[in-house]
Amino acid sequence: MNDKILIDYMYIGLFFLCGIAAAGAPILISLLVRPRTKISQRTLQTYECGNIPFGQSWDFRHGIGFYLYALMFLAFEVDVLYLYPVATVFHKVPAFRAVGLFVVFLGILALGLIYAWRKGVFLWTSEKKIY
Amino acid sequence: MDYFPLLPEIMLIAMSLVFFAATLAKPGQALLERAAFVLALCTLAATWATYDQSGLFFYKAYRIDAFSQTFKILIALGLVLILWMGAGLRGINSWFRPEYYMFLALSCLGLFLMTSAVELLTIVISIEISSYALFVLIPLRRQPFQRDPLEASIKYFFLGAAATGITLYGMSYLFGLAHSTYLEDISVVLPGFLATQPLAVIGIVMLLCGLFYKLALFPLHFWMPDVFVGAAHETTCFVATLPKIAAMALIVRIVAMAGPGSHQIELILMIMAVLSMFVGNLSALGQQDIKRLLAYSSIAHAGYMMVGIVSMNQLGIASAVYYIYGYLLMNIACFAVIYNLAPQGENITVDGLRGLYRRSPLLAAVLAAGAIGLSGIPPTIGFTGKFMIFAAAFQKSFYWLVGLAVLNVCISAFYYLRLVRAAYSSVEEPGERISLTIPAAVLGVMIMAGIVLAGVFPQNFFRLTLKAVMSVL
Amino acid sequence: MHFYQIIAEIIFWLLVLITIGGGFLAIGARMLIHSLMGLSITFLGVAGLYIYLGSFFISLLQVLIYGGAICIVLVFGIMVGYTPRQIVETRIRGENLLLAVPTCGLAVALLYFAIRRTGWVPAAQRLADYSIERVGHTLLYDFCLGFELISLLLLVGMIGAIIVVNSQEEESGGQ
Repeated sequence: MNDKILIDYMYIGLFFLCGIAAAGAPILISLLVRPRTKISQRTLQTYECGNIPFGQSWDFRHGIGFYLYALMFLAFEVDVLYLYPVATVFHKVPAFRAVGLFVVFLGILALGLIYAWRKGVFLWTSEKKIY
Repeated sequence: MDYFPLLPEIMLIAMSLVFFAATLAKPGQALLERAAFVLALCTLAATWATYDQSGLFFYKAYRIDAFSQTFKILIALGLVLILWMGAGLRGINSWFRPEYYMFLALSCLGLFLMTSAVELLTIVISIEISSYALFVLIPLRRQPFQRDPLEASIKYFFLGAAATGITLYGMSYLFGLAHSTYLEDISVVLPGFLATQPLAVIGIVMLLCGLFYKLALFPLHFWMPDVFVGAAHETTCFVATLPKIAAMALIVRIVAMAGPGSHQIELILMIMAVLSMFVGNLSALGQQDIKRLLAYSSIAHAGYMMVGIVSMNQLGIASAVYYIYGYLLMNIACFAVIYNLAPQGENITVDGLRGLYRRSPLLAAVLAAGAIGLSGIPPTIGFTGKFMIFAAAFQKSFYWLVGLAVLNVCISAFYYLRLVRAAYSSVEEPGERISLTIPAAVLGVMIMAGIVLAGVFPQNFFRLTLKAVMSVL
Repeated sequence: MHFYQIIAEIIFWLLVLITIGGGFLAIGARMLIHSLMGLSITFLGVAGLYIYLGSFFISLLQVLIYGGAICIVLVFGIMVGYTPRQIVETRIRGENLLLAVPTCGLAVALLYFAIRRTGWVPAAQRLADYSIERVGHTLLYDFCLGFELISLLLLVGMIGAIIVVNSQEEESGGQ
């Protein structure tokens, strides 16, 4: 490895430390300035909502709709993997080719979105019409 | 650039788009069915029209030649016959019929791409497109059978994902050795690597694993019985035949790329073929459920086809292509009987066949033609195909391989003839007569004629396949 | 050895440790969500290893897609799936372990010896340019078919998931 790359790595390390500091500082500051309270069992609850919580979060099965949302998100995040490199060469290739391939790529994916929309994936379960 | 040779793919894309629109608009079942059939026929016509074309497309990633077009004709023919056989989609959840047709078209598109792709990444993606579509098709069975299809789909999915992972891993070795993802470039350096580098052998075998999975060859066959039992009859017929055709096209391409001199690969493929035949045939002996029986027979047939491929001469590969055509016809014959026997789409046992010849003589005859063909008794296509495959293996002096294969043919005759015997055994009360629709009866007669005629007069078809094989070897 | 090289070596082996440790956590955890945590740790370790292979772009995407999106989807998958108590009962048992460990060991040993015996030939002319622009360029030209097919694959996956979910929803709603 040559020295220039190592210096670059040291920059990364520096940014890393800065990131940790930036994330840790609010916790530290709030620790210093906040008023002292008596810590009880109730304080340590994840959600203080007035009711005493019961059971564990994994005792319930959540609606499948959440999963579909996540999957849509995944599909569109994966396409970033392919679109980002293509976008970096957008100014160097013939416009027709770049834009054409882009539109076809996104057009095919958009069909999935249209399908999900028409089938009511984005509706709440109570509003969902029969398939 | 002339895009005419891509007409079959364009037809299938059009078919998928039409049915995508249908999923949103929800037209009636009769219209859907007619549209599916017409579009599939158009695809078949397109493959036929582009048979003589050749060329490289998409920066050398996609190759059209007589070989790929022959396989495309087989796949399109299979799609037409399966749509014909499964008229009415009685086994499919009625809410999802447009989707069902759409995914059939997409899966066929993936298979078309597989037969023509000559670049490793394109190959993987096309394999995945065809299998993802099948993962979705399997659970779309009718309501009373909801659990089994889902289990079948999950098994198919997980094992498929594992097989693809192995394939990709093997490809990474090949890429590391040859520094290219194009089969054309790899084939230049590969024979040299196979002779000196052990990793090249491992890489090729791992690369083939994903295709063996589609073919259901021995170590990767576990999904087959469960998928057969779980999926609806129409879907099962599709899963049993068409992916195997495309997988064989790719296996031939890759094995031809490795060249005929590689004895390690030859040996590995032979061992897999023999084990596949034994596992399939011996497991099929005791089965009661016909679909499970056909699943194991399908595993055994993958073994027979491998015998043809492993010979790696023109006769061997040409007869393997011929055999898979016969396999398509014989399987559709068996599934047409199952489909017509089960109005609600339920699975049928061997005992359920009893007295079939009184209930419907035509169906009994179709079943007999299919089963006799599968067992390899003359004058059917199954006999001619097996005979030529074994002759090719004999030419390469694989005597023990031929001996074991013939032994397996004898074993398999037991359970195939059990089907025929059940269909023709007399019972006190055979049950009510089955009234076939006219298209179903026509299909039955046609398939029977195909099985017998193509077996007696193989010359014309053989000339086609030889021409196809010449373009890869 | 240069001081920087020692640091690089140490970080490399740390990443290897993270990758393998995450894998062990993934298969050994009693609760599924802990397995997932192990998996995400493995993803991050692998992302670090990609940097050592000189592929920053792949490493970035490994963090973004595997460490991020795939793990989120898996979390949702666990949330909608079975409860952990049922999963504890179906953990890897003794006899499976007895079969799995030798099989994996054999496979690794085989690959190891094969890799050691292989004489790797460096490419004739190495492309010095591994930049993102180069990747984009090949996606637009050499691999344009694969590029478009990937969107088709994603489409099939998306619509397929909706169909499979809906086909099951109808069933449970009907009962």
